[in-house]
Amino acid sequence: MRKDILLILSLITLSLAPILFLSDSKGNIAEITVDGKIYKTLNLDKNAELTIKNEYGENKIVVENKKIFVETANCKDGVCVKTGAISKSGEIIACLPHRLLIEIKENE
Amino acid sequence: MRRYVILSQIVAFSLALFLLESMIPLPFMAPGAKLGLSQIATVFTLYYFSSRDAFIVLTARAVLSSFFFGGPGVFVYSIIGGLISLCGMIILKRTGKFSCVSVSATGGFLHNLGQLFVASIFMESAKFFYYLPILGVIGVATGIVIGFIANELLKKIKLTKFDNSGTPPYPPLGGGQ
Ligand SMILES: [Zn+2]
Repeated sequence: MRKDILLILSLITLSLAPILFLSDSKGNIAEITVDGKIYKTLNLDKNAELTIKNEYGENKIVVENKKIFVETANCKDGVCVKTGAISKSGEIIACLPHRLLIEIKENE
Repeated sequence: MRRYVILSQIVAFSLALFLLESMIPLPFMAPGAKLGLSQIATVFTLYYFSSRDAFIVLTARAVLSSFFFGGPGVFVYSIIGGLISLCGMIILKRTGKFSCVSVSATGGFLHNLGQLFVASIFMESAKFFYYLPILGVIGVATGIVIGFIANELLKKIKLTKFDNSGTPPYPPLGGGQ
């Protein structure tokens, strides 16, 4: 019983470990990656709209009020749209079917 | 032979759970996020039959679910997470030091960790570990619930044992309880 509790506690500790590496600061740069290559970098201080269309499908990305989100997408799972808006450094939006990744970074 | 009849019923049952949970909307969104309810079939088979049978049930579930509800991508996700999870559970169970509940909790954790690995490799970005706090804790929590359910099932079904090999086919529920 004690070993069980220790095991479960260490699993939870392990799960929470990445929090230590997250910063709470707002980022102001969104890096958009397709197929593992940087596609475009957007400045979150400027509202913008961007549609990415390629062999995988289509994602409409919107920058608004220093946040970025995927407004519409024709992917199967819709995860990218449901993720909602992100703005903190280190946060990501992923669209696996379209091999698309949006990541917030801080401008050095 | 009767064993395979039961095993295929277990596969059908886990397939039904897999379908059921794909219809449950989750309040958090992460790529590949799922409760992992169909893990109950793997845990149950692991304790009621053997490691080998658990492997068969898992593989059959992954093949059938990607055949019916997904594609090759779905298969890779569900099989790699499932295999990492099952290997971890087999090792822990072999030590004889942990209960079915904590073995299952580890399985849930490893399943989600495995999926993050697949996503990281597929997307060529280590950023997916951003999801580990939520997916890891969810995996542990579902694993605990599944472990309890499997434990209750095993207690009840022990009354209706059958034996076709001459060896006791029912491994103890693991030590440390
Ligand atoms: Zn998407």
